[in-house]
Amino acid sequence: MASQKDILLQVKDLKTSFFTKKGVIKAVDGVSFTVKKGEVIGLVGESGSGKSVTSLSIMRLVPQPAGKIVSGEILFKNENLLNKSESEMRELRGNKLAMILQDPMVSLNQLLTVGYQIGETFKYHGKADGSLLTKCINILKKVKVPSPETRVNNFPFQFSGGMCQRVLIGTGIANNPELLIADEPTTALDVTIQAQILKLMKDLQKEINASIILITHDLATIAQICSKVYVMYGGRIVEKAPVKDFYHDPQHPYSEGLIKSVPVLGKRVKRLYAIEGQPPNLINPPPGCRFEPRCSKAKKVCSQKYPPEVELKKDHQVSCWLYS
Amino acid sequence: MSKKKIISVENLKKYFPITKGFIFTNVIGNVKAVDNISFDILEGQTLGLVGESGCGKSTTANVLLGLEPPTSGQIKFQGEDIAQFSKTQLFSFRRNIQAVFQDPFRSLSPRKKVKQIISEPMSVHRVGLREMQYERVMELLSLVGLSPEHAELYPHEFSGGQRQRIAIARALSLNPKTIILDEPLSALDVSIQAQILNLLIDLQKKFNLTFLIISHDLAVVEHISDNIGVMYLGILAEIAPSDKLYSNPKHPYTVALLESVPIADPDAKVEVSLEGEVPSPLNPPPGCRFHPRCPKAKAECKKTEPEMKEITSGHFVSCHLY
Repeated sequence: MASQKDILLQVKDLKTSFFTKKGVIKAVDGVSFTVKKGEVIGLVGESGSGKSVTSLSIMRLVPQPAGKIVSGEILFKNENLLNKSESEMRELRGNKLAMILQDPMVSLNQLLTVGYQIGETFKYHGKADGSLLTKCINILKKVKVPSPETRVNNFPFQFSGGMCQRVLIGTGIANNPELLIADEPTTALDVTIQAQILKLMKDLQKEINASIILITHDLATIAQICSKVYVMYGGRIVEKAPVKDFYHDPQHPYSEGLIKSVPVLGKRVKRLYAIEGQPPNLINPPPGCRFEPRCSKAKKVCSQKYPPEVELKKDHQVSCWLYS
Repeated sequence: MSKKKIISVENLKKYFPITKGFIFTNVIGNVKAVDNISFDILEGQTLGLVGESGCGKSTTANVLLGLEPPTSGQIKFQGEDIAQFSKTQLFSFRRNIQAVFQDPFRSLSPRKKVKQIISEPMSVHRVGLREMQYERVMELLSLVGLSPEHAELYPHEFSGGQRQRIAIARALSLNPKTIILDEPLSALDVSIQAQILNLLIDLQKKFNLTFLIISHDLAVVEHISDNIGVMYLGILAEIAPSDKLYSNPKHPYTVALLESVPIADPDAKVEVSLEGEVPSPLNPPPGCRFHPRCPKAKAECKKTEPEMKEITSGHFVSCHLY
């Protein structure tokens, strides 16, 4: 099949749990999605909805020993990542699979120069030759760090937050990855810098033609660069939609509430729409829809059974009893 | 205007000296965190302060709370200079000005129960007997939308939004006139942000509170504020009523800041209108501080620092273009 060829990553019924003294936390509870080649996916949801655990599961970096991938399949280029050994995974990480973490000041080592940390990715994957320094400088040029020749020998604390994030993006794309997972890449940055970083990511994505999974809770960031949105709530994906449909015609009551609760610049309303209540506790989740206690349109069936995923139109799926 | 000024800040400066040497210390420079700003807050109104990190928003808040002494300038609370206050006056002043901080995970003591956290300001200020304090705690809990059984729990048992509600209850416990909110929403999720924002607006109406809200999220500030001040590198670039600031921004920095806010709409495209980063406040550029990044900079901007001018009533800008 032609479409099968385009698929880069396929996650099937992934379940990741954390085994704690208080009970089993089902952080990711049956998540399935696909990422096509060159596609930018936005994974959006509240804290605790399982976005980050999903991405850590893909990288096989779920914190041990509490966390464990219980079941499911993660097919990366038709190979199940869950069957790979640790050394095979290391081969992939930073090479074909790369990740950019949230806090740039924390995820860089303060004691090593920026150049060293970029060079590490080359060295590790056996791509270091005599021109390592030039390679690092080229990366810094790519991510538009000013005067890269001198900056390559600087330490992270000599960089501002935005510049650190550029360096991290640089290390992420150093080996031309096929899949880049960016976990809240702009959350720690100022708005003006945020705009710069988003533009940079957009440009680089076109250049290296990588697929990106962008994890964020900021709906505006998603609108800027993603083509598809997956909304997570309580460890499951509740809606999958093309970005335009998601903003103009959200189907799941949670997506709808999420969009309505964002204050819009220049459109002041008397009172903001707020989704009342708190996110669910994942230790003993209710048997029905996770959103049911906070949902204004809840019916009887919602609290009894989890809704199946329904395809409303092409590329637009919802898990909600309103539609099935 | 008929409303009283509750806080007025005149030519406030706060420098942090940088010293060199261990025994024979010399001051080798100053970080000019806040450099000559003036503004007023009227009773029952909200002033929003926005700007990038390092522009002096939080330092302004700390100085207003009396946590840092100002280097120069005056802060008047209901017409009286707080620098002239005696110890007892300062004590009672602090009853009237309370704060809610950014990170509800760090601003609440993990070793105290919620009832202890909320009643602590009352104990410090010796307000009421213990039973009365307990009643007040119950009243406050219901005000911020929590239930009475929450009083016996510890902060780690709450989510971020609930903790921020506890922090707000604590700030309200002494019936203050003013609350300073330093990034009260930035640690919260979108759906929870809207809840807290609505709560703040309700409480303000109910108790005629005056807010100073500091945030980097322009949409949030616009939603709650009557007046907005835009700070850049220790100075106030522009201060105006919020509708005027958004519909008719004057300072090039404000314009750029508004343009770079990402919009939650895939059809709207955001342009990168501001290249470069904020210069160091240790050594701010001469003349207008914004001129190295300003698209409209003139020769004059490099030489002289612009003064604050009132363009229309209530709309102040410090820029050579006007």
